[in-house]
This record gives sequence, C-alpha cells and structure tokens, in this order.
Amino acid sequence: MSGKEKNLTAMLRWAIFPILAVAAVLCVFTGVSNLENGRTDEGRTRLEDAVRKAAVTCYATEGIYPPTLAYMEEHYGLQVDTGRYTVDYTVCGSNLMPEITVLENEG
Amino acid sequence: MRWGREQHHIDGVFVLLLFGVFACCILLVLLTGAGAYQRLTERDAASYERRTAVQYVAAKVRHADTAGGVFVGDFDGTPDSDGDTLFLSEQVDGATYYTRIYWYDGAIRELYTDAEGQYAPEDGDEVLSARSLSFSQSGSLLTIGATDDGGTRSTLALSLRSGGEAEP
Repeated sequence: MSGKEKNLTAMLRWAIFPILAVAAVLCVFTGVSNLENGRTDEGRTRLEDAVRKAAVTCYATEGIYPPTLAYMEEHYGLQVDTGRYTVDYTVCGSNLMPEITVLENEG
Repeated sequence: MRWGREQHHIDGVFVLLLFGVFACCILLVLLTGAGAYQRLTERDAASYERRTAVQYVAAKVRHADTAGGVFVGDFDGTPDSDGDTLFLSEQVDGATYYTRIYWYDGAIRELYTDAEGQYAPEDGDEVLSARSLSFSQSGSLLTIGATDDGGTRSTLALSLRSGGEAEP
C-alpha cells in the first residue's frame, strides 16, 4: 500500500464516526420534525371529530344540537386548545347538524 | 502510540453504540405510548358508537311520544310494523309533519318534512355513521336495533308511554 493510500484510509477511519454521528442526529431531527407535522394535522382532525361527537351526543341526549361551542365545553367535557386552533361553529337550526370547521392558528 | 490510537477508535465505537441504544430506547418508549393511546381512542370510539345510536332514537321517541305520534313504516309513509323507518309525527297549525329516522348509505339519517310531500332517502341529514338500523313495533312496544361501524349490535326495547295508538 502506498503512502497516499495509507493517508486516505487513516482519514476515512477518523472521519467515519463523526459522519455517522451527524447522519444519526440529522435522521432523529428529521423524524421529530415529520412527527410534529403529522401531529398537527392529526390534532386538527381529532378536534373536529371531537366537536362533531359532542354535538351528536348533545342531540341524542337533549333532542337539539348545542347552541354554542361554549355549551359543549360546559356540559359535554369538550376541550379546545384556543391558542392552537380556531373552531368555527355555525348553527343552522336546532335539528340540523351545525357546520363545524377547525382551522390551525398561524405562528 | 499505536495502542493509544486503537484505544481512541474503540472509544468512538462505544459512544456510537451507546447513542444507538439510547435512540432505540426512546423510539420504543414512543411506540409503546402511541400504541396505548391508539387503543384508548379506539375503545372510546367504540363505546361512543355503541351507545349513541340507540340513545339518539330513544331520546327522539321520548320527545314525540304522543298518541299515534310514533309508528314504524316504509319510507314512503305506509305503516308496517317491521318497516325500515321510524316516523314521529306532530301537528303544526293543523298540518301534519313527520320526522323520519332511518338508515341509508352507511349512516343513520333524519328527515323532517310535511306529511304530504314525496321525498327520497338521500334527502335526510346524516346524524351518525352506522352499519344498520332496524325497527319493529308490537302494540306499545317499540324495538330498536342498531349495528355500529365496528359490527357491534345494540338492541333497545321501549314501551311507548302514550300506548302507541291514536285516541279515537
């Protein structure tokens, strides 16, 4: 083995661990970032589902859809993270399913 | 000198292995937590679906339980004790209005209309998703059967306080 090849092998041997470590850290950060994005989408879907379920539970129990979102929070244990999401709850009539839209707040 | 370089090499491998083991442990804890959360939400959803369908029909019947105000029939309004639609009738300003409760296209639906008009099952508002909904009436005994999306069937027998028959 020539002197040049020896130097290259030694350099690779020294560099391989830092490269692997940096790659592993990058992988972890990418994974956590993807997880965070998925969690946000999942959270919005889950909140919309929870509002819909609370509205139907109210209709099944009382015979009318809840008049406001606050009514569901007070009587049906609904919890809304208002810092993160905005819920648009439009009542069309006491016996018609309200229009429910959940939007994620910016920032 | 050579011994020192090999020692450094082994230290690097050890640190990397430790990092790998640590990362795997974190991943395992996350996956276990996610699995437990998923099981809880599935159980919650199953419980919601199982009780809400029959509870909804029972609440509607109790609200409309007047003499002759609750009957089972076909969607077009023909009374039939084993029909697929539950009718709740009410009088508003001398006119008769029906609330139809029935299953159509994967959901329990409700349709509030006048008694005279012609309507199609798709006109109703979707209340909650389910696999089936059936009714049967024998005198004042109304039996409601509902199968949720998970395939669990719930049956509820209600005795109509009005007796189910219209007064002469």
